[in-house]
Parts: sequence; structure tokens; C-alpha cells
Amino acid sequence: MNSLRRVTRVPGLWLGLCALQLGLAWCLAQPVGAAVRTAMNGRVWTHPDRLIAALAELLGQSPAIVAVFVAATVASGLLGAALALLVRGGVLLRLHDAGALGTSAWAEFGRASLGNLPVLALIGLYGVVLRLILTFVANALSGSHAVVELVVLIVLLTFATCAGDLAAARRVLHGERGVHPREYLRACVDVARSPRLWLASGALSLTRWAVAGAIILVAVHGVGEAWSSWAARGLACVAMFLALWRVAVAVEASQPRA
Amino acid sequence: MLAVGTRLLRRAAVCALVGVVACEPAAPPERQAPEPSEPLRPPDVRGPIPDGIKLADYVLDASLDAEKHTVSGTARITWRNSTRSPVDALVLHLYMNGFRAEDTAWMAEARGAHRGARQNKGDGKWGYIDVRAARLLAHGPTADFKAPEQRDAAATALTLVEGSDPSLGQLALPQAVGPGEAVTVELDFFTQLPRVFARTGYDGDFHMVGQWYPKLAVRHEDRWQAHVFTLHSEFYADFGDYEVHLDVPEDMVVGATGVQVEARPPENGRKRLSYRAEAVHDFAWAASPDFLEYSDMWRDVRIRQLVPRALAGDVQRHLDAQVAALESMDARFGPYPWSTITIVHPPESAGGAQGMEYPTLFTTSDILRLPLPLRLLGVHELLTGEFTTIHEFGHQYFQGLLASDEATQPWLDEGINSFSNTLALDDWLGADASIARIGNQRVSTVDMIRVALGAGSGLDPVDRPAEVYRDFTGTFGGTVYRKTAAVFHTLRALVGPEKFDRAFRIYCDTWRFRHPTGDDLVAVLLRELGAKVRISETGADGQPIDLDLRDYLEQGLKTTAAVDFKVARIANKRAVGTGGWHRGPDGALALAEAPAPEDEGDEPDEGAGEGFALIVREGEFRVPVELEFEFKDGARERLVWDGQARYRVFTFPGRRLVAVAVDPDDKLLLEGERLDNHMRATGHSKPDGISDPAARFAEAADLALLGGLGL
Ligand SMILES: [Zn+2]
Repeated sequence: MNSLRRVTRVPGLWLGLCALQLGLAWCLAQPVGAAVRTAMNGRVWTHPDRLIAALAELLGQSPAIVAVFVAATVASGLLGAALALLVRGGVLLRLHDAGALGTSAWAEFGRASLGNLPVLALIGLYGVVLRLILTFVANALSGSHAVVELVVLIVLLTFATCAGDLAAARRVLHGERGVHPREYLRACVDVARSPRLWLASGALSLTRWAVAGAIILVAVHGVGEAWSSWAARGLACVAMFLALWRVAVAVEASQPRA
Repeated sequence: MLAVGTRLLRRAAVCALVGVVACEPAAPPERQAPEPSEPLRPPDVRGPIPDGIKLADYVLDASLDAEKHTVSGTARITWRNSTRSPVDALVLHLYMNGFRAEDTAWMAEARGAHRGARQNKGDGKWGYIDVRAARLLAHGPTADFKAPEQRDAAATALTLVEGSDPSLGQLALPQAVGPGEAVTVELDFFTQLPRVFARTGYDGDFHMVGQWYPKLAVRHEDRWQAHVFTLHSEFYADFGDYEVHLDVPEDMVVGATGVQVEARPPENGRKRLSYRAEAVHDFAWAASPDFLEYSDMWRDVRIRQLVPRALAGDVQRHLDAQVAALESMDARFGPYPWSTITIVHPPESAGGAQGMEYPTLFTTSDILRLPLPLRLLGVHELLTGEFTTIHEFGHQYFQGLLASDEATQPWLDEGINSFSNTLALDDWLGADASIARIGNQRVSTVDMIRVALGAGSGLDPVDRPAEVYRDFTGTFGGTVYRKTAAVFHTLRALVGPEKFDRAFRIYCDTWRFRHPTGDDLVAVLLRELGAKVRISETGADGQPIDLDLRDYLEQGLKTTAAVDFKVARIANKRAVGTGGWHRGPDGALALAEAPAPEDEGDEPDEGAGEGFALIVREGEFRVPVELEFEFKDGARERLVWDGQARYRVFTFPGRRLVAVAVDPDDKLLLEGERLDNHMRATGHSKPDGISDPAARFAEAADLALLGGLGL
């Protein structure tokens, strides 16, 4: 089955995760708005295009706002990683088999998520180790040239993502004992031996990062404007779709050959 | 064509792909414009040069050793005594000696750093000037410095004695120079350039030769005005004509004050270039074999840029800024009098030489290379390149032309120049020009000055000698540059731009080619604007409001008082009712049962009420200020408060206030803290203007990080 098809036949999964993501971001942004509102204390700034000057003054008076912003951003990163891990099992299962519907589908999703949590966490840990090693490799490969190093690193990181997806899919969907590092290594070797798989997964990873970059662009070019918020939300849903698609590529690759 | 196209494509591809390196703009082909034949523009364009202003003429004959980074030569100086008393000694600045040792006044204050540049540790750490011989060539009512050879035989040897700080020296004369008399002396000097870290020096083959020859101080009526060279003090000298001969290695491209009048054919790997400059008070030059040259014309003024190849892609941006500055300042402050302006771009490794002005020549600074991601974010700035060019060119007026004593009153130089720079930017880019942008946000010229105001500009008053500013306090920039600019921008906004500009132009016209003091500027403003300037016909009590100009300038220039107003409180109270016991016409008390007030408490929402606003003057600076009151029915009302009292309560019977703004048109650039200038009444949901954008931005940042939950 086509990996794209695996995603499009479970629109509920995509929409549910989008809602989760949008809700999370919105909630995390509220303390920032509240901190600024409290600091403003009835004062009003009337130049929407000159917020830099206003912020320079406001942050000088209330530096705590920076702390709130940083905390919210860090929290979003951590929560994002935690939630990704939490739903990973369910996502793999739904992309593999969209058979169940309605309540039973969500129950299945929950079971798969929670049941596979420890082992997926372990695979995640292997991924962290692999990424660290790849960072050194990128450094060694590119000598002192920072730009080359960055490019090499980005390419290698897509490899780690792809290998992690494949190992997780095999473990969750086909009951392989992915707990052992050997299984993870086998996934790595398979990805290395299958450039098409790496290319497909890597392209989707890169596109998703590009979309994340586009969200920052939109946010900076439309500070304070509603269109920018809606564009950011829309792009976040696109990023979510790309992430699911990438996982579906691994699910597809994990299917036993006929 | 194809080759170029492929190269461009590859370049674009690399830039797009990598996204981290900035794309270096390619160097355009060099261009030449003819050397002007005269150092000054034609008299009908530049206007007359006042008689008797040229008091110090120089003939400099110097040779550059590009290997050892030394300049040796002779300086033949003719000085005219324009004072009423005889003078028996000449005082000379030996600026390069400021870099001679750790314990000079300059070095002791700098402790090895200047504007962020560190002094070099090894070779080339020190610079000095050694006057090895001095002779009196001529003395009389009409000393002719241009043909002194015949008097050489009669030359009397003189001795130059260095002062307690070696940046000054004294040359005793055998006979006093009487009023109206002139004297010509000749000095043999040897100058060792330091590796550049503060304005002057060398870096590899690049030589920025400033403060390099013995230079006369200025004789005031009773004394020599000769300041020890210190960290912040710049320069002060009499106007004169300069005839300069430079002997340099053949491959050097040279830029210098004035115009080149002769270039002898190279001999033995060296060439001799001759320059002439008229009605200037200094001479500087730069030489490097790596300079590319770009010459353009603005009207009859030649604009010459000397640029290392790596920076040549920026010449157009600097040219645009230079032309904008000429357009603006020539119109505002009187015609630029000289026929040339040379812009020297020091190489990136010689940052300490960047951003310094000399007559008809200045050094600018590199435009910041923005990596692609920042450019995609819409980051664009004029601060690192264009602004420096405008600023350094502005010094051609303040203090190249209006040659104030920079050491005694640095604000007349850096401060008035900063004021003029903002006007030039506004003339160029439109009112309230943006100096930097990121995305849909901008930093205006006003913001730039205002943000810097907070940084310690309250420790020293503006009108202080340069040596009083300690490097340790870090207040020189905020006070001398920014606060001065803010004082005059605020004044201009208060009295009206047209009125102010007319008065300021009279100051410029009166004092060109002279040495105005702060008092001279204040006197012109008082005379042209009047001691009391009408700000508004309708003050808070219906009376007209005047600005006391003398008081304003006193506060702005001589005190550390800060402008700071605040909307402290806004409230709406219910209207006064008619109920209760009152005496009737018969004298007896009678109870009137008026209808109960429509609502209770201090903050009624509906019905008749009374608006209250408390405006507090938190700063010590007293200045009239405009207020705007916004009412519930949508009406807005403006009035001017004289700002003299510490606070004032404004009441509006029968009307409900929604918001109050202090200085709604942003006239008081002197006011650093602006956030408390606009407040809404409690209970009104008017957005504060910052929290919503902040929350939206935080949400987008979170979404970017979450970006698909990092699945
Ligand atoms: Zn300056």
C-alpha cells in the first residue's frame, strides 16, 4: 500500500493530533500574553510597527517576561517530545491498520500507545546516542567548514530519524524484540542499504523542518497580525501531516515482503 | 554570457542551499571621475570665504616607509597672530604621542581599548611623533611661506619642548609675534604609526595616516587653546591652506584631503603626489595597494571611494547614502564648500580606523553581512554602513565647516552632527525613517536615539569638556551624541520645524569657517526664535502656553534633568447629585429626595459621570507637553499643559474618559520612557498593544518547535 494512502485513510488521527498540537501551543502562549498584560498594567502602546522599542523599554522594567517566554518555549519543546513518544505506538498502529472505527479505534490507539511506551522510549534513547555519534561524524567529515558540517549533519540526522521510525515500526507492528540494540542496528543497516527509503523519509523530514522554518518566517513578518497566527496554525497542520507521512513510510517499509 | 550565468546560478544555488553564508556582492568595475582642478567649489556655488579666517597654513613634505610604517618629513607652518597681544611661543599638538606609552593621558584612560577595538600586543603597539629639528624661517608682517627657500640660510634653530603629556609641545620664539604679524617655522618630524586601533595607523599594507604631523593649537585672546589628547577629545585647529607632497611606494593608491594637483612619473619604485586643500583645518590621507577606486559626481562635487576588493560590492549603498547626505545637508546647512569628498573603507581587519572624519575625507564602516536566514526574516539595517557614511559626512559641516572646539564642547561636534544625521535620514527615506527592520517591525531614527538615552545619559550634562567624560561611566555616547540630538529634535518639534530650521540655518550661515561655541548657537536661537516661543494658544486653563527657550536649553544642555511624564491614574466618578438637606429661600433646611445615583461606586459605566486624569511629571525637566483625552462617546480632545508643576489633575464633568495619552505626536524625543505615556481607564478592554502580539508570537514559536509534535 502507498504510504500517503496510509495517512489519508485516517483523517481523524491527523485532525486529532493537529488539535492537540494547536491546543498545546495556544495554552503555552497564554502565560506569555498574561505576563505582558500584567506588566503593562493599563498602559497602552499604539505603534504596532514599532514594538521593538516598546519591548526594549518593557523588558527593561519587567525582565521576568523573558523568563516566561523562554519557559513556555522550552516547555513546548519538551512537551512536544514527550507527547510524540506517548502517541507513537498508537500512531504506528493506526497507520498500519485502519480497520477499527470510532471508540474502539481510539481504545486501540490508547492501548498501543501506552503498551509500547517503554520500548519506544528505549528506541528513542538509541536514537539520541546515534544522533550524538552522527554529530561527531559530521564534524570529522567536514573538517573546520561550519557550513559543510551543518549540511552533512542535517543529512545524517534524517538518517537517524528514518532508522528510528523503522525500528519502532518493526517492534510495534511485527513484534520484533526491538529492545536489543542489535535490532536497532539492523534497522540502521537496512536504511543504509535502502537509499530510496532514506530518500523518501529524509525528504519528508527536511520538508517538515522547512515548514517549521516557514512558521518562524510567518511569525516574524506578521507580528501581531491575525493572518500570521492562522498561517502559522495552518503550517503546523501541514507539518503534522508530513510527520505522519514520514512514519507511514517506515510502516510501509516494515511490511514483510510478499 | 553563459559563463557568467552559470557562475551566478551556482552562486545562487550555493547561497540558497547553504543559507548560512552571506552572498558576497561582486565587486563592480572601477570608475573614475576627473580630479577637480580646484579644492573649493566655484564661489557662486559655495559662497564667499570670510576674510582673515585662514590663520595656519601648512606645507607638508612627507615620505611613507610602508615596510616600517613610518612617515618622515618636514612641516613648514605659517601662523598669523590675529589676537591683540604678542605671542612669544607656539604650542603644537603632537597627537601621535598619545599612543607613545602606557602613561600618556590617552592610553591611561583607554587602557588598551577604543570603541571596542583592542590595542595590538606585539609589534606596532606604539605610535609616536618625534620632532627632530625646528627652525624659524621668517617673521614679519607678511611672512611668505610659499617661497621660503631664500630665507633658509638665515634660519634660526628652535627647540621644541614636550609638555608633561607628550601630546603637546612648545616652541619658544626668539622674538614675540606681534598682533597682525606672521611667523613661519619648519619642523623635521618622524612619525611611527601604530597598528591601527584608534583612528590612525597601519594594518598590513593599509595605512590610515591621521594625526601625523606637528599641528598648531589655536591661539585665543589670552592663551593657547591646546588640549592634551585624551580618549574622547577630538581636534581643534585654525583654518588654513595645505600644500602637501607625499612620497609613497609606486603601487599605493592614495586618498587624501583636498585635490591632487600633481603626480610625478614613478621613479625607483616610488611616486610623488602633490595635494592642495583650501580653508580646511586638518589633512589626512590613506594609502593601500589593495584599494579599488570608484569616483562619482554629485553636481560639481567629486565623490571618491577607496575600497578593498572584499568590500567593493557595497560601494553603491555608500554612494546612495553619501548623495542623500549631500542633498540634505547642502540644502539645510548651506552649500558644501569643497569640490571633493573621499570615502575610505578600511579593510575589515582595521576596524579601529573605521568611522572617522577629516576635512574632505572620512573613513566609513562595513555593511554587516547578513546570513540568508536573517535576510529571509526581513532583517535590513542601515546602521553599520549607510549611517556611518552619513554621520562622518555630517562632520564636514559639524565640525569641518562650523569648526567648534571639539575638546571643550564635544556636543557641538558629535551631538549637533547626530541631530543633522536624523534629518538627513528623514529627508532621504521619509519622515520618521526606519534605521533597521525585522519582519514587519522597524526601528525608527527616533527609537534609535531614544533607546540610547537610557544608557547613562543622566550622569553628565551635555555641555561638558570631553576630558570630563570617563570611559568607565560609558556615558559619552548617550549624552554627547544622543541626548544632544534629542534636545534639538525636541526643540524643533516644539517650536515647529520650519521656524527652527530657519533659525538653525542662520546659525550655520553665520558661523561657517569659524569656531562657534555653545553660547553662539544659543544666542542665534534666542535671537531668531525669541526668548518665549508660543507653543499653543489654548493651554489647560485656556491661557496661551509659551516655551521659555533659555530655560529649556539650560535644562537640556547644562543639567542632567530628564523629561518624563506619566499618566498616573484615570477614573470616572459618578456626577455630583442634588439630594440631601439644603437651605431653601426661606432659610429653613429642606430635604430634597433626588433620584438615587444611577450606579454606585467609583467606576460607573453608564449615565452622567465625571472623568478624572492624573498626569505626573516624574522627571525634573519642565517642558510644555500636549495631552490627548479620549472619551467614551468617541470624542478626542487635546490641550497643552505647561508641565511646570509636579502633577496636574484634569477633570471632565459630564464626560467619561476611556484613555489618556501624553505627547501623542511623539514630539518629546528627550523622553526616554514612553510606555507610561498612554493609559486606558480601568474596566475598558482597549488592547494594550503588546500582550496580544507577544502571545501570538509565542504561539507561533511554540508551533514551530512542536512542528508536528516532533514525531
Ligand atoms: Zn562622529
